[in-house]
Amino acid sequence: MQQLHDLQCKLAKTLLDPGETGFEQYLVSSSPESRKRLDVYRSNVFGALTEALKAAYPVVLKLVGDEFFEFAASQFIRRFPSRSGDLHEFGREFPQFLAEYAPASNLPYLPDSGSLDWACHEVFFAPEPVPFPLERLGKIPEADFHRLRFKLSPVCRLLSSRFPVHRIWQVNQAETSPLQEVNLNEGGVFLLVQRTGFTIQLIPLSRWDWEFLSLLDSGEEFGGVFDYIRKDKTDFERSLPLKRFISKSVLTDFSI
Amino acid sequence: MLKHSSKNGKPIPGKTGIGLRSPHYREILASLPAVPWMEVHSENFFSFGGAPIHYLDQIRSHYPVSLHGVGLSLGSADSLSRKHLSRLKTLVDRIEPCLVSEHLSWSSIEGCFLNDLLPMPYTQKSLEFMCRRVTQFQDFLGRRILIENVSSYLEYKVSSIPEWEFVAEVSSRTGCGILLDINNIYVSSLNHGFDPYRYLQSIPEKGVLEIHLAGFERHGDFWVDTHSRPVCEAVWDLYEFALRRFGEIPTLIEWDADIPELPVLIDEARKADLIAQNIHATTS
Repeated sequence: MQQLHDLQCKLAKTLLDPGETGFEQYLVSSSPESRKRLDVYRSNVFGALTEALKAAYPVVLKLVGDEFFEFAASQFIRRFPSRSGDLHEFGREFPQFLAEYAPASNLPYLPDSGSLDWACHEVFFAPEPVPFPLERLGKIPEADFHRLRFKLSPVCRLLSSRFPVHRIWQVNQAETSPLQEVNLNEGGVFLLVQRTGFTIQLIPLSRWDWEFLSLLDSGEEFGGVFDYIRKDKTDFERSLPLKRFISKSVLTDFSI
Repeated sequence: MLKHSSKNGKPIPGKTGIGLRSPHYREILASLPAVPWMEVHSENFFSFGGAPIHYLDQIRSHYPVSLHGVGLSLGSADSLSRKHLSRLKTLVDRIEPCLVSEHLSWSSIEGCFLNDLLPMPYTQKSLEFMCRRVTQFQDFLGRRILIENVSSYLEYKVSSIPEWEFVAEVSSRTGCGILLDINNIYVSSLNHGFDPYRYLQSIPEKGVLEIHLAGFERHGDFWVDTHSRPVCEAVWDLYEFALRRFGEIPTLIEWDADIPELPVLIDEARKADLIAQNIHATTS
């Protein structure tokens, strides 16, 4: 299907790049009319992808407003085109794009606010976790504990920022009065995003708890993670944090 | 023989249902309105978690539910996405839908998705290609699927077969059903200048298993299928003609932008059923 492939490649390129010309020759209508017909599709494509991005990044949208967001979205769509037929998967790279996006450089907290939006978007749709297999854990000999690898719940995400992005998120929720202000100098945050039922909670953690979970989440063995943290935080408890995060359903599985 | 509906899913009645959209989930579950069936966009439930799938699980226990895909990109020269197909299969197994449908279009190439329903070139080669694709899709799901005609704003020079013949051929060669979107036919007829009644007359009487109705808007020189308005008079007339030709077909009101209050949507569905009742009264 070389002919079909070529036609589809050319049309896709034409729709994503407004400067791209020449596809008119493949259409029945006259050239000026063909350009208008292609614009209908272009507006559909960019419209749907922009709406999907707005739905995934509600706080970024509120921070920058419709006009700025839509312009940034149009650039983003060209640089990071959608890779899935499921629109919920579109837009993962938007925070990265915002970090390099010159017009947003005076809003240094915008990329991290975007990362928080995306974390919330992902946990909103994430599958329900299965309960932690406590019985199976009970059968592991104490001597093997250091080799355990724990899994973060599918409805949890970890995120850190040098800005108080959790406060920015809170005052930019739809139901919050727009008059509240956030002091950007109040410092950063180590955050756990967790969905319980259908409610998404932002839970600030201590730096050490956050490091502990992040390292476990990256696949490191429990023993290595504990030793690493103990180097800087000499009074870090061995089993208490583990018990706490298991009981709060933050860790939902393990392997050895 | 491929199955028309799943073993355990509720069968679909020849009446008018509504497209189930998130602003109405809670109200529907709280009031359980008398709606004969509902349709959802399959991809909205692909992650199998959180509120969306929770509501769908509940709604399917009260109503027959149809799964309508918008993202498979059936007509792309790329291979079909295994990930997309398996997620759909998992959803089909879980929801046991009365119908499963997709569009006769493409939306991606070389892994890049435009997430829009782009028209196929209508040639002998693309017809054979689309038939292989529909067969592959039906084989994967192990059931009969429905394919929907899309609204379009452009026509390729290379096309040599009228769209209505293309749709009819795909159905007759693969055994798939036709989801006839009457609004799409009307919108395309305005954009390309063909007779929408001729389109309806060219579709085999037994092939149509579902009808879609929706509203559109005029944008500059063209008519755009926005699903943002009530069904227009000309489309109601075409619908009446279609029912006389195809019989009592499960019909769906689609409303995806500027979504109205639930009663407005349900009233629109009842309007369609009234047309069907009038036909029934005059012919019996």
